[in-house]
Amino acid sequence: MILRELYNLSLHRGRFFSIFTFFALALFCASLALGPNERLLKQSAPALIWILAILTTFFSTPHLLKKEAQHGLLDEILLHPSLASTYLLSKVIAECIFIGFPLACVGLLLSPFFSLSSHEMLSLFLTLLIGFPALSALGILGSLLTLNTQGGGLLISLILLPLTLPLLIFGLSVMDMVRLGLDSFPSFWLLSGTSLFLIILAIAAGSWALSFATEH
Amino acid sequence: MLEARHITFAPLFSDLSFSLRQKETLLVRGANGAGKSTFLRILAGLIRLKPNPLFWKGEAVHLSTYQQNLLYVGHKLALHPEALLKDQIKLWQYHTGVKRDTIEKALDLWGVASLFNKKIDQLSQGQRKRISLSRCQWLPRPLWILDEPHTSLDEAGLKVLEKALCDHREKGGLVILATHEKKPKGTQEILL
Amino acid sequence: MKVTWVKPRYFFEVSKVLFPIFIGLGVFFFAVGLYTALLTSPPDYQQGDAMRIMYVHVPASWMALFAYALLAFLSFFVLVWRSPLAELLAVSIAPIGALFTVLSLVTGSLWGKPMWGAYWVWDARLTSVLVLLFLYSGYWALYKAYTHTDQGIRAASLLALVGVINLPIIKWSVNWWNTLHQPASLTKLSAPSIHPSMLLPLGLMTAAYIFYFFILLILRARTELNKRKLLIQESLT
Repeated sequence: MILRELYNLSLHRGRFFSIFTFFALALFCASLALGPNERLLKQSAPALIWILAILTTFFSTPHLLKKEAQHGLLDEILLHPSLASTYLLSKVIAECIFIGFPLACVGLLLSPFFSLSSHEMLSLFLTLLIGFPALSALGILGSLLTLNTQGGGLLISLILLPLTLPLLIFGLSVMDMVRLGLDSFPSFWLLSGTSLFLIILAIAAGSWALSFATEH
Repeated sequence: MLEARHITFAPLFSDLSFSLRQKETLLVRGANGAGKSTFLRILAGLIRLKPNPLFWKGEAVHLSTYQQNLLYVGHKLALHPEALLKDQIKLWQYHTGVKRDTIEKALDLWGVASLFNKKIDQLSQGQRKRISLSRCQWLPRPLWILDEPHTSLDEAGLKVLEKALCDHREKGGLVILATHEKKPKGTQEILL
Repeated sequence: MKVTWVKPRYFFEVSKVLFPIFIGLGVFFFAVGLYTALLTSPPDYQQGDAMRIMYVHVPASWMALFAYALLAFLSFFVLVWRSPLAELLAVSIAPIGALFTVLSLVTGSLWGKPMWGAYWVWDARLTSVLVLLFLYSGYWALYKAYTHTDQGIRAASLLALVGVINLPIIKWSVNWWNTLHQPASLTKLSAPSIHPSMLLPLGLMTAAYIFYFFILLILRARTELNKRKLLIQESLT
């Protein structure tokens, strides 16, 4: 199943380029817009990177699901009821491998824009890695909820952003701790816990959404 | 074996009921947009109505077990557009546990075995239809729900389809078809 | 009895009886509540009379939260039992809840000016209420995005359920974030200790708000019901 999703995503190679480029470009513009003040850049970097990562994820997830719905593949999943959660989970995993990891890498590569220290860069990278599965799962939930609408990424962001707040807060608190030189482990645990909770919640809700998303 | 009671879906149709026994066919007819596909989707359990209108072997249908008795081929064909045919076969193997040989033999019967290395969205509509309908061969389920299976098929394809339908009925299966074609006597009909 | 509750028609009948009662009680509680809140309760020794905004602000926040909880509860009924009454009530509650949220935010910021010298501070409570407003907007946006209302209500209901499960976590995390970032003076001022003499006007105002809420709910639900009847009639002709 996972292999199928990996294969699936790899077929949309063309889009990947635009996803990562968008992310990098937006970060570049942000860092430019903030000016040369190093302290300001350092402080705002994690927040900017996280928010742009969230938006990028939410804007890029619906496409694939809509295409699958168009071709009746969601019907197929529905007809084998036990498959729903596995299907969604494999989508999340495939997205993490194909989008999450590279996205975090792009963030890592662009950290010098924001004059982050290497310790901070590594922490940022890890927080993105831990948080991304939850973002992807939420994105898939959002796509399922908006399957038959025209809203797209914008609508998904609108309905899901409040739910990403805990992730954002805990991810940023890790960066805060690192910056202040304090122990960041408790924050990491909070982040991981929230991420896991959101993944489970999003997949459960997603299976439910799947059952009525195909009715039209 | 299958009974449907008072299926209502506003504003398309209301209070439709029928019962279908083994070796019987139900034809669903209607103008374009009359709601044939919606009706079939309700019968396949893809659209859930309250209260539950379907009864299988006399008992109220529990969707997950009911759907295991079901073969549904809808308008959208449920084929992965970007996949090669051989990958689609692998996916089917995974989803349903059917052996590769069985699937390949079925595809051969439907005349599409030579398309193994082709990408599905590069095939013609008729070829895709045949691949999708080959499920009839390798997925042994008692109830068939087919949404306009005759469209896009050429003469040879239609022959294979007819034979498949006949064989299925002989073996005691039930068939529900949405179609614009004329059908011989001995079949039930619902007009939407 | 359970079955009859479910039909919107019975709701109409019941609401006809309750409506004048609610109006009467609502007016009564508002009058008494405002009297005690504005005139007879003692001014806070720190903030003076400005503190009286609390009597408008705090019940509004409670109502906003209560409305969301009710929305989530009804959403569960919409999703599992497809109850048309639940759909009707949920759709009616959403804007009312959002209204209370906005009221809470506005009065909160008006209160903030004399208290902290600013119209907006990143106080944990204000921020949580703002998040609540966004949850309401998300619900409404999703509902409105669908042309078929029965699809829209189900998607939005699922969103409400997911939201209500997340709400404590969001609140807690925002609180946590603020304790890390707020200067100490702010946290000291943000929660005035409740004096017993404040409880009475607070309770009265809350009761008034509750009745006001139900009045609005009945009005909106009736309008929505009539609108739906009209749509069905139109589609049949």
